Amino acid sequence: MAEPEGSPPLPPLPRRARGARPAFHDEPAVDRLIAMFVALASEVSVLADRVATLEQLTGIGHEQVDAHVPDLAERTWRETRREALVARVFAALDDEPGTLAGGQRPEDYWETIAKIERGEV
Amino acid sequence: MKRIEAQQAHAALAMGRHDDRARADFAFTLRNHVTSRWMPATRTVFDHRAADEFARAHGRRPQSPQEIRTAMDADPWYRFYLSARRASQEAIWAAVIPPAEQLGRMEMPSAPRGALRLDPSVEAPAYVGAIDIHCMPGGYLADRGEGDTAAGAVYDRGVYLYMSGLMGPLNDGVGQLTVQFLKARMPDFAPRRILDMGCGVGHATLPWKAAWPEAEVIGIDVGAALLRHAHLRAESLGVAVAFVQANAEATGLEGDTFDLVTSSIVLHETSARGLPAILAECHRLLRPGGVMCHVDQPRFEDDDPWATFLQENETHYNNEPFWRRYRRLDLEAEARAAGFGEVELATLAADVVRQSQNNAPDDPRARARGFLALLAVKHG
Repeated sequence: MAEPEGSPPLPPLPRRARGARPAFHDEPAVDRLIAMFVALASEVSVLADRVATLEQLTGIGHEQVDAHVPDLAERTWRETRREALVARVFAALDDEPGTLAGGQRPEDYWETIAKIERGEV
Repeated sequence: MKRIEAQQAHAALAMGRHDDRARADFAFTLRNHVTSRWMPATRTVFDHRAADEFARAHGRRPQSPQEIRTAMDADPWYRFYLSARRASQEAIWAAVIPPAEQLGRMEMPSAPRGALRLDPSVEAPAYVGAIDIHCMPGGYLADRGEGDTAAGAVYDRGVYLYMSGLMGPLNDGVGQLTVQFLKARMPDFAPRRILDMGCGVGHATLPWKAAWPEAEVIGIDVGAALLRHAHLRAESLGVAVAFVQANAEATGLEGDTFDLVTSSIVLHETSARGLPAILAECHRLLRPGGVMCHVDQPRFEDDDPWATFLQENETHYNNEPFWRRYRRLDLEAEARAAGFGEVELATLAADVVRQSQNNAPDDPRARARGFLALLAVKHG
């Protein structure tokens, strides 16, 4: 928004907290599915809000929406938006490879807690 | 329990576009669903199934927080709850990070009422950055250099959503509560110099300036991006506060110069080593007769193991490293060890505490819970 001239752009922000995510189910797929379901519900809610906003602002009726066919430019824009949606909904699948690649173990978290509670840091 | 009123706009706030705002609204709705519907239901599951299962195996119902944990960890509904609750916490950050990222480098005001003094040589204590507290990606110390306010922008929105709006449109509920407490408890007190430790983005710092407009108010924190956001926010809201990068254990500020040293929900994010050092630094900074007032989560109550079990989940699953130890500390003894002669503890009841500990909405004890204020005076 307010970029001072001559400064390089800022790098992206991290999207997940450091360390291994706790496991809540013996079958890890269950935790991933729950996270995906939350993300998916978020997207549905966003869409419902957007539809409500459009209806409020334009007063366009159902018939006009049903009859609309997007052209190539709009199809391209929609594909980009859907790709981003898929990345958000399935973000839970990115977690484990990231942890493995970073060499982080669940016990690292408890070693840190122990140090803080013992007053070593 | 929630408050729908929108967060108050200011120059540093990253609300994003329509869908960013809608995503944050969903995170708000889900978070409130977790605390208002699922969290009380954990007790139902315990009473009607998990405790019975435990009793079948052990010959008696669970007594201690640890036994309650053993009983609950075996329950399939509870595991699903924990997993969904963790996902709801992550949904908050997923909603507020993209708009913060879109801010880019923010320009600081050219003629500020207050001040921003960053010092890259300040070393943060290890407990601040060892874990991403509250699972906030990047943590408090994330700093991408000049003009980066993202850690502050993410935190500012995240707190509002996490607290279901109960901190108020300016997220200043705890600061307001502390001001009211101190004005009622010490009606003649009129501090001229006030230090707010671990000020973050200044949520609890600005109320001190509003309470005593003539006073010089300084907020310190170790996170540079938090402080840039705090400065931009305060200037936008027209409040003259100096934000200074400093470590609360050794501020580097001149001793015997403050009338009031305070903090709001900060001490539980320190450590068993850091906390005594911070209290000793408070004593050093205060003038004789000066007042120390820290407000944070209350002590665990030994005769309410269920509440302790639920609250300890914050350490287990929400990256709160010092939380469960802090809430067993004898703060009065800690303050006396730091040199304070006159020490008292007080409970400040508030909706925001009940929300975050909403384990039994119809329990009179739960309703009476509040933040714990540690109040102490430095003798001459």
